[in-house]
Amino acid sequence: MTINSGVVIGMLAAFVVANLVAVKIYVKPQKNMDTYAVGGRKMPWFLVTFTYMSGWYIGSAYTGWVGNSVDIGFFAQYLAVYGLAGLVFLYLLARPVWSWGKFYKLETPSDFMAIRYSKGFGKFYSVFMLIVDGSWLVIEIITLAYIVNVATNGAISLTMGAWLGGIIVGIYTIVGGVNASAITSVIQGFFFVLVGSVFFVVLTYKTYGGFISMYDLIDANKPELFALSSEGGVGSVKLLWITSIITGTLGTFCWPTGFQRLYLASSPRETKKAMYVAPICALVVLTLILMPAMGVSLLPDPPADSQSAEFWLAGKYTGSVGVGLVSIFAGSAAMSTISAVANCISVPFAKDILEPIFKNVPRVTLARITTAAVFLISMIIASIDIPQLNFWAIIFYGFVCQCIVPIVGGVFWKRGNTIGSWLGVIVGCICALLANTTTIFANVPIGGVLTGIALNAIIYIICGFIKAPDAKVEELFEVPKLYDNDGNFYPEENPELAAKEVQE
Amino acid sequence: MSKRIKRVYAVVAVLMLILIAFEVFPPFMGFWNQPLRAMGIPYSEWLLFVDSILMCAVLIVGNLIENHIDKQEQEKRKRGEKIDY
Repeated sequence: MTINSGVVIGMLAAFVVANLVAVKIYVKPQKNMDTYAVGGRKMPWFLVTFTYMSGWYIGSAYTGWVGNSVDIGFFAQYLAVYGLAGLVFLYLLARPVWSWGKFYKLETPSDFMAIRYSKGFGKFYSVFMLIVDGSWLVIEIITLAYIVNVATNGAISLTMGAWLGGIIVGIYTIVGGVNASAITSVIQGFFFVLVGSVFFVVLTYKTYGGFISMYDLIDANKPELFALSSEGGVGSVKLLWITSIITGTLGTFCWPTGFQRLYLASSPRETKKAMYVAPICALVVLTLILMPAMGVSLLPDPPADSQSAEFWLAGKYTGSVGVGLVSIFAGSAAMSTISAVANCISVPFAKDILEPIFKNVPRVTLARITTAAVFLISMIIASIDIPQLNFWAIIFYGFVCQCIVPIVGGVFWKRGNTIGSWLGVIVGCICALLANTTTIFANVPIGGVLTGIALNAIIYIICGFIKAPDAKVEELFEVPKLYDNDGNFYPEENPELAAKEVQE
Repeated sequence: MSKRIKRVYAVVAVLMLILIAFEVFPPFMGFWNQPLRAMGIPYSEWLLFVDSILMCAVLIVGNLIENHIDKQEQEKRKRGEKIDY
């Protein structure tokens, strides 16, 4: 079928306008940091759910992962497994972290690190996440640009796509903060979850005549796509499957886009309602996207670039409207991630690093300036072809996973302390760096990142036994007793502590 | 959080760990990751769906149990009884 770029561009433009109109109608002016960063802690469950999903349901699922599905088959579906498995941390962390957030008015993951460990560790976490998550922000902007470029058949160049996408998402994120991010995530989520699921089932039927027919085709020609590599040695696909799922699961709540969502709802119960929607979405939506791509290489005249397979399928079997829809689904996923990441990395940096320097500037203004700067720098980097970007982003992924030790240890183990967090994270990051730049871990079955996490945890535990927890930590662990799952406050449980509640 | 809720957390964490292990530990994978099919669907897809649905169920049931315990504890608080932390 011939693709009409005008139809695709028109559909994308209409979708962008719909998002901007929704922000205009539903997002009130953000006057203080509490509303800008955590939405006044009043978000209903569906906003929290979609903002949470926007963090891991990325635009690359339609490009990079689809490419993996075409080339190596079933392996690509590890994305769904870790998206789902990571929710165990939502279940375990929601209540204590929400209680601390409410009691001490925490707004960022760095605030959590500062109050649990030290202000220094909190500042470190702010800068660390700005750099680490910033690299993924750039990658997602590039993905958005790629989606627009492929969808419009090159009518919009990669550079123009990066700037257009960045400016549109930047405007509503800067103006509306986390509320704008949440509102647009719901609209975008609605499209890629509901409309997207129906579309990909239809696409599979139109392309192959159904799922079983697709499996028959693969079985007859490339049955290896059903399974991981049978060789279990170091460097095999099988090992990559294991480490990808484990690091992905452990890393889920280390990203600010995951962790910060724990503060947004009116109660832990509202936060946890995400579990009635998010796991099903992780499983159904992601597998429905990746499944039809598995058989693309067996179809006549497959695309040379396997990352564009979904657009190619949509164009060939459903025409311009199909390509427009896939562009909206993929663009939605990229836009919601870009908005969420930019908001989550800018607010801590403004609060922890800039505020002590610019004391007279309102905090929310600093957050907006930082968000604008983050967008501008990201768009500039996205417009330049930096060959090492993906390489560093993968290394940074290994760094992020190291934070699971101070996060989980900090929430559930009183003895976990600042020195153990510093040493553990530093050693873990060194292992992650060496794993990608040297061959030191070439013969270690679990790879460098997981070795780093293991060493990190051992160091954290040893340091925990060396030093007894101080009074501040004892107090922290009393706070969750003051709240129930509905967010009700019970000062009578500990009146002396309840009197210390931080007011807005 | 009371001791009962902490116990539910521990059970959910252990069950999730077991279910994740089914997908990532080589001894289990050796069995599942073969290019074979049942009812036309590859073993690997069966594993992914069945295991993932069980994970969803563990999380949802764990959540419902926590809500139920929390309701009981709210009643206890109303009656002025102490919660076992």
